[in-house]
Amino acid sequence: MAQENNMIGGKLCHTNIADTLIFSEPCTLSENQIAKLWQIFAQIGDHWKDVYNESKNLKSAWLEMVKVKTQQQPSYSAEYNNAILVIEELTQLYGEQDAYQQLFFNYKIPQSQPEKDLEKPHALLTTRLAHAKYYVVNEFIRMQVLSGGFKHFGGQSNSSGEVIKVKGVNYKGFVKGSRYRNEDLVRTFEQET
Amino acid sequence: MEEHDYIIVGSGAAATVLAKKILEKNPLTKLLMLEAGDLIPAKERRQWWNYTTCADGPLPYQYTYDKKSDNQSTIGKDDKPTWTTSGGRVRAFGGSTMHWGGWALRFKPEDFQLFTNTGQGADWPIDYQELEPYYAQAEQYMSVSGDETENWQPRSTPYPIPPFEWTAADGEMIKAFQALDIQPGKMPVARYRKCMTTGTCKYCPYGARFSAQYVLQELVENPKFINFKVLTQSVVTNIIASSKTQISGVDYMNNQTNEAFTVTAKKIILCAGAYEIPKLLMASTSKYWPHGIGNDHDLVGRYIVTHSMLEVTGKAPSNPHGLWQEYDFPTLMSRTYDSPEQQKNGKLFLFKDRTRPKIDIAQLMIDGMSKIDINKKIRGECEFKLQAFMEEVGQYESRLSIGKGKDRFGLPLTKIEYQKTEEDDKRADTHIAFMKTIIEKMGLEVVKTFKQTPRGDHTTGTCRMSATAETGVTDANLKVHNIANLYICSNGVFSSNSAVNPTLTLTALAHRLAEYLNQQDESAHA
Repeated sequence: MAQENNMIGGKLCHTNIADTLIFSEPCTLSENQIAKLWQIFAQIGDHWKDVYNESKNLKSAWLEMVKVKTQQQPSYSAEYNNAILVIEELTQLYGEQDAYQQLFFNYKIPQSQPEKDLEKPHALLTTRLAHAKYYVVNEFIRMQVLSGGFKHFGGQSNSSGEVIKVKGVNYKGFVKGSRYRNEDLVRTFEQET
Repeated sequence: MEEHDYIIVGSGAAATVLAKKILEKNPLTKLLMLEAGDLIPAKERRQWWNYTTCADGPLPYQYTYDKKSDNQSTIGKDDKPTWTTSGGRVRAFGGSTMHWGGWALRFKPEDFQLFTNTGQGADWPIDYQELEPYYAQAEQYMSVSGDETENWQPRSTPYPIPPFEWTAADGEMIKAFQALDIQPGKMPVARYRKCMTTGTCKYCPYGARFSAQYVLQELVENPKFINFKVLTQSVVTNIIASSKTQISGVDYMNNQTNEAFTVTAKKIILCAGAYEIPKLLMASTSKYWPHGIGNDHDLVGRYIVTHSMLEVTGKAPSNPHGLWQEYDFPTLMSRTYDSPEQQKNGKLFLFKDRTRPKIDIAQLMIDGMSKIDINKKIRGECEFKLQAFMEEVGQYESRLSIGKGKDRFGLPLTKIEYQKTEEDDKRADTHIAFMKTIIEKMGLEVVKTFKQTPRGDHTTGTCRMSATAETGVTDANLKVHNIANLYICSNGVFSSNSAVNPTLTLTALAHRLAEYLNQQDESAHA
């Protein structure tokens, strides 16, 4: 089993727990819990500079996802609560800005090292920190990208990689519907005349 | 025992059209539909969020796929099966439309006259002109979005919905096509009305992909159709012949209760696909049909064929405009080499791969890559891939039959004797060489070519339609030769394959059969 070589966090982050979804009964999160979870989602937008589609524009979609993932089985309620505790510890250790920087860019979930290529490496979800990254951060990232939160990737950029023009770039899996009706679908081919 | 007007075996694309049209004509029709698979929950938001956001979000229907270990196909020289069954079909309420790509292409007039034109394979007992009005109905029914200015084949009506435009990522391949006198086209896709949020596709943002489940559910819930019933997990095991020319009903097993039942009907329609129908016919032996129903001439299961997928991948040193396909389906295709001139050498249906240039932004973020680095990666080295289906000709020696053992649905396993001909291999090599010229015309370096093992997705030809009982299994009206009340509506009845996907043609055949049956019923009633 691989050791974590990118150790961040403290005692709570490294508490060992089972590698399956933390069990909880379906329930409704409190407003305080939702606010703290939303902060994680918004920080994703801030750290990857989601200036075009601010995370805040996606709140109703995000709330719907959180609702169905907590109020139906298997419920994410305990996973979401775990992530809130992990963020609190990281914030105490590094301050708010660096806490997210460490979690998003420095921390890597340790991978299994299977013998003789019998199986593919897989994430070892044996700590509270690994659970928070896997079940919460990673899923929030996917949700934000597929919801059009990062359409500027692939837009016209300058030599340093900074996007200077945004035009209808779609991520595969992007949700088009009434909620996003003002968005361009995709960049289309313009025949040269 | 109550006698039904109709028993339909299977609940996929064809079955649904038949049920809908028969019930709409006469809402009180006693119609029983028997489906071996189960109902896969759709319109489930949780399922959809799991699929789109979780690392290993599974497709909810994958458990219905054929297992690799169930494959009893011929083993080729490379010690691998010559035919791949896994992943080709969904066994569930709504059938394989739960997972299909929605590509909705008409066959071309010459596809119905393969033997006349080339001396190979077989002609259909109907022609394109006969089927054309039903193609139009099928396109309306499935709300196909397509380009009404296309001229691939004659059509009496425009597409009901405008096409998806080519994406920016299609641009360089379009230019290469045009430089090589290949006409670029827009892929027609079946969309239907609205998104079911099935958790079964990532096809947004196009709003919806047609699924027969949606139609079928509406039929079940419609209070006008009080005599319509769908039984899932009900595996038909035998077709009962009451004489040489009459079928009285079927035996089926309820997988939930392990109880066996016999049900009777005036007419039976088999819509269970090109794998299950021939096995069911062969299993249904009696004193009238000692070799299985419709199999006096040993033709059931024969001429199994699909079209090979060919691929050529090219690499570009950079991607300055940060292009990728953006939709999860192809928007660029060409039928220039799906032509009468090409028929003798195997027609070729060209399309741009739906996944390249490939970039998974979310995964790069999850891996901790910064925005600037992601943008650099997007503009770095990339691949484009050209794919094609190559038409192949069904051979008498190629045969599907009943394998040893049963699968987890209680259906007999499938044995497929299939070997590609040397001619097919030569044609594939020639086509790949041609496809390379397109990739090279794009200024790309060819880095990979690939000939896929035939897969079961587009299987045709196991119950061929023919003019006589000596040359096929059903007649032009899809009635099993010499039996008054047994019909087959499946890709299996295709007399020959083509280079394009079969589902629109199957749906057109279902519309035509439904109209025929309704006329028959009306005459009988009168």
